[in-house]
Order: sequence, then C-alpha cells, then structure tokens
Amino acid sequence: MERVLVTGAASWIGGRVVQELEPHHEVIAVDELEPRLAFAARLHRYSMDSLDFAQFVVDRKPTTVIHLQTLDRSAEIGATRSRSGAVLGAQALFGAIERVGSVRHVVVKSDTAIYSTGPRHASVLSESTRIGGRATRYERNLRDIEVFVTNLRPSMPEVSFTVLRLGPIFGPTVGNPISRYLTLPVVPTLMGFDGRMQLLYEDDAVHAVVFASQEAKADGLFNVAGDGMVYLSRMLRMGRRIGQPLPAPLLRQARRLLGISGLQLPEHTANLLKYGRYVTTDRMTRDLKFHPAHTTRQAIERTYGGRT
Amino acid sequence: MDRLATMLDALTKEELVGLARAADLRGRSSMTKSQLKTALMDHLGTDGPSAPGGRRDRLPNRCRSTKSQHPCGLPASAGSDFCGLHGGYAVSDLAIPVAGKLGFDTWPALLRQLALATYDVDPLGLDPVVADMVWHLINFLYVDYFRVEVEGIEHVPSEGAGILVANHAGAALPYDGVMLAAAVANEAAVPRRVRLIGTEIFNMLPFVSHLYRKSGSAYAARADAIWVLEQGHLLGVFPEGVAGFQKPQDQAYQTQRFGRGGFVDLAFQTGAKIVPVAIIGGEEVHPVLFTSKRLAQLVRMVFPEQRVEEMAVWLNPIPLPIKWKLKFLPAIDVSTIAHTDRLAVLEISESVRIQIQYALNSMLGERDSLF
Repeated sequence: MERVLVTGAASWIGGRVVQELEPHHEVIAVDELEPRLAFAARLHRYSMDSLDFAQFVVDRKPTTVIHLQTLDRSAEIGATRSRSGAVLGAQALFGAIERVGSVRHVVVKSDTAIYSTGPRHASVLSESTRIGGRATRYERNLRDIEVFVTNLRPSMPEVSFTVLRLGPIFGPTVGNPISRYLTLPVVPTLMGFDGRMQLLYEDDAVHAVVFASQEAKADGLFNVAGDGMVYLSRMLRMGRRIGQPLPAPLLRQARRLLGISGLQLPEHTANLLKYGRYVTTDRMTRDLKFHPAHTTRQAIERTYGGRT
Repeated sequence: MDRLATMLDALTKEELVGLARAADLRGRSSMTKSQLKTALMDHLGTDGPSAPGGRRDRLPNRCRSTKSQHPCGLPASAGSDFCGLHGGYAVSDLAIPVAGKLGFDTWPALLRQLALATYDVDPLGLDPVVADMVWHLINFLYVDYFRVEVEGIEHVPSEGAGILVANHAGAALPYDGVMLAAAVANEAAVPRRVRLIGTEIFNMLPFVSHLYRKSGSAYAARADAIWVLEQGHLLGVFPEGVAGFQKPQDQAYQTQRFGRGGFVDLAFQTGAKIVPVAIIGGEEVHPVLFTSKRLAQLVRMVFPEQRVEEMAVWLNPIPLPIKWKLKFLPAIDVSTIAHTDRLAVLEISESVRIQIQYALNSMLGERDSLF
C-alpha cells in the first residue's frame, strides 16, 4: 500500500492509470479538467501551476508520484495555459517533491515527440541522441520538463526518476488527435510524403506507466514504443482507410475544416505524419524490462478492428 | 468424384477457365466447357493436392506467411518456407528481388504485396518491394543507357560492415550514387544493398522524400550511419558532398576536399572496412556550362542549411548516354593502422582521396570515347 499521486488524472491515460492502481494503493488524483474516465478515487481539482497545488502535495506526503500532466492541451484550454500548466506545473511539482522528502519514486510521462522530427533528423533515435533543433510548442514543453528532472536528479539521490518517452499512443479508445485523425474514413495526407510510423498501443502505454511505477522502479530515461515500423500509406491500407494525398495548401484547408469540427491535429503530429520517427527500444527491454504486448502492426490491426 | 462433377457443373465457363488457369492447364482458352470439366476432373480428381507428384509438388515452393488472410503468393527463398519479405533473409543487407527476379512482369505481384501490407520496413525505412521497383528502373540506366563497366568488385566485402567511399559528380541528379548501389547489387558475388546517405534535400522534396527512404537511403546523420554499420551493412558515402556535385566543368574529376573525414571516424568506431571507389562518367552526363553564385544564393533562401557556394548550370535536360566505369579499390582495414587519433582521421581521409584521384587519372587516360 503506497500513497500514489497521479497528475493529469482527467486525461485518458491518467484515468486508466488511476483505475489500475486504486485497488492496491491509496491514489491521490489531481487535475484541473473534467475527468475523461470514471474512477473511485476523488479527483482533486487543482491547476498545476498554482502554489496551492504544491502545498497540497506537501501536505499529502505521497511516496510515489506519477506525473502524466505533460500533455498537450492546446485544444482544450488554449496554447498558453497548456504550456504553463505543463512546464510551470512540473516546476511546482518537482519543487514540492524536493520539499516534502517522502517521495521515493517518480515516473514522468514524456513523449518521443521530444526528439522532434524533420528532414535533418536522424532516422534511428536512441535515448543518448542529442536533442536540439527547431521544435514545436509541445516539444519545447517536454524538453523543459526533462531538464527539470535532469537538474533535480543529483540533489535527490534517494529518489529514482523514471522518465518514459512514450511513442505515439494509438488505439480505439484513447481519443488523442493522432488516433482520431487516422481512423477517419478518409484521411487527408500530404502529397509526396509518407511518414514512417512506429506506434504504441494504448493498453501498452498504460501498462508501461504502471509497470514503471510498481515493478521496475528503474532510474533513467526510456523510449517506449512497439516493435516494427510501417509507412503511413501502408497503415491506412491495413485499416481500409482512404489516404487522400493533398498538396500542402489544400491539406491546410482540409485540416482547418477538421479543426472546426473539433479535431485539431497538433503541429508535432502533422510533422510526424510527414516525416515519421523511429526510436530504439533496447533500453526499455534491457533495463526497464518492459515488453509492450503489441507490435506497431498489432496496434494498427487492433485499432482498426481487424485481425489481432 | 460425383460431388466434384456436380460442383463443376454448377460453374460458368469463365469460372472453369479461371480454375484451369489456377491449375495451370495448357490450352485452356480453346477448350469447350465439357473439355474444361474433363480436364479439371482429371487434374483435381486423380492427383489431388496431397497426392505425390500432385499439383502442390509441381508448383514452385510458395511462401507460407500467415500475416494476412490472403496468401502471400511470392516464391519462397531456397531452403525456406517463406519469401524474402516474410523472414527469409536479411532484407536490409542483401539485394535479392523478392519475386525472384526483376522486371515489369513482377510488378503486379509487387503491387499486390504493397496493398497487402504484411511486412515491416527497417528503421531507416527500407521497403524491399519499392526498392525492387526502383532497382528495376535503375537497371535500365545501368545496363542499357550508361553501360556501366565494373572493375575490382571483389574488393567489396561479402559480409560485415563496409564503407564505400566514392568521388561525386553530376550537377543535376546524383546518378553516381544509384550506379554505385546498382553495381554492388548486380555484380558482386554476394548481392548486397548499399545504404546511401545524402543531404536533407532528398528528405524535403515531395515524392523523392519517401522513394529515397523506401529504396534504402537515409539522411547523412551520424546516428543512422552508425546504425547501418553496426548492423553489418554496407554504407555508401560521397565525402565531397555538394562541393563535388556542383563544380565547374574544368574541375571535372578533380576530387574536392573530403570534409572532416567523418567516414574514417565511423570506421574507427565500428571496425568497418573502407573501400574507395573511383567513378567516371558522372561528370559528362549533364555537362556544366558555368557555375553561378546568384543561383546558389537563391538555393540558400530555400534550403538555408545548404552551404553551397556556387550552383552549376548544365546544358541538357536529358542525361547524355555516357559510358560509365566504376573501379573498386582494395579495402582498407583501419584496425591494422597504428594511430587512431584525430590526425589519423585526416590522414586516412586524405590518402583515400588521393587513391581515388590516382584511379580516376589512370581511368581517364585509358578512356577512348565518352560514349
């Protein structure tokens, strides 16, 4: 029985993690939005970039912290508040962790988007790849948050920090922009480009976070993604979706229309679909000892409801 | 037997012809319906699929992949139950046509594989099916158009990591890269894939971007080069870069500076062998009229990271049918070299450049005609 603080509990992944943990642990769920999924634990409504939240953490004395509120919430609460919630929220949280002294293990959800993507990026990215270059807002958020962790680590040797760089989460229920976009009946794509897609099935993302907080407790930085890679065009064919290549100006208009109807594709995801990304997962299997149950191909087949 | 007869009776003639085609019966198109039925009865009834010498034995061995509800249909590689796509051989390393041969007649089968989407691509994005199609198109240039002549192909290592270092030319399109890859795939004792690395422009241009990746090439990032070599594959590099590509005609076959010698560094790190390659033919395919600084400025506006000083303006839109020659020089094993310090990187890099220059000079001396 541990006292586990879960931030970002209103998000899909937050809700799933709370559901998994609450039968065995005392879960303190925190978020500022309405929860996506129902769970038994009470959701404490704090804006993470407030000192109230930091004080709350200090009062509750958690032993494990699962920090999932590193998400891109530009669509829900606007870009500025999203950035402030993620970056200043992380600052407040880590400050509170240092003050309270009861925390033994911290899991931070990062994203392979931190490597960013573009024509000048290496095709094979590992945890030791130097991160730099142009980045979108969400990617900058992640870089800032990981820098906090790097700075905090030497001053708190008794705490193990697991930073999980989760690959693009894909699945039928997660409802993130990439999953919703790629399961449209007709998917507008950029003409002349075909991104390399390596995906993480939604259940595996949840299991990775729970596993890291409960069993592995490995200190370090880990890429987490499914095995294998397929091209975007191939993936849409597997899902019997019509990939409609459009030249850039038309694609912008198509995405604007989708944005009006409530499906905003963030810039970092649009870049991913254009160029693609592959991360090595050697450290995940060797040091974290986590094995996703689904390969990229299985994630695609499951999501589109095909053979499993 | 009677059940088979009634089943066949229920089919139309077109369906019977379809069955006959699947059974590979000769003369099927000129048969009447009853003849078709008799022939099919003979074929299916007497030597059914499991009978010795039956249909299955007469067909070539087919891939038994279960990755899709549709059969793969490609021939299995020798001694295996699977074709090249489904775990037969190291696709990233070996250039073996997945349908057993190259040619437009294999394209329907290849396009079907693209639609079935039953195989993964490697981390750099090599798609063996698309690579086969590209290879077939390139072979037209290689065999018929440029009539490439190859010397010293035995210096290409048959296994393990190797770096092919060549002089660069071309002005318009990097034909030398694809000819280098085609030479190793077509001529070497072990047909290996040369994973070329190049500038980011290939990643930025529409259509080129993914064909380039799918045919096995990548952006020249250090991590990618190391990945290729650590997997024990062949890497193809042009250390002159754009400086070699965009040079005035009076500097043809004059190798430019070899940059920082990154390929030597890679060889030190991974133990790969360095194979210098001299290529002639590339400089005359698009003869350069003059080079322009103004044009280079324009290019830098679109691609700010390109440190190109001068852009070549070439004569002809269609490549000239020049006769090419590739000469592979003896491999250099860096593990036998005493010094492996920073200066050694520059020394080896320069010695490779000089070897290539000497080879170029002697090949140009022997050349009788451009065509």
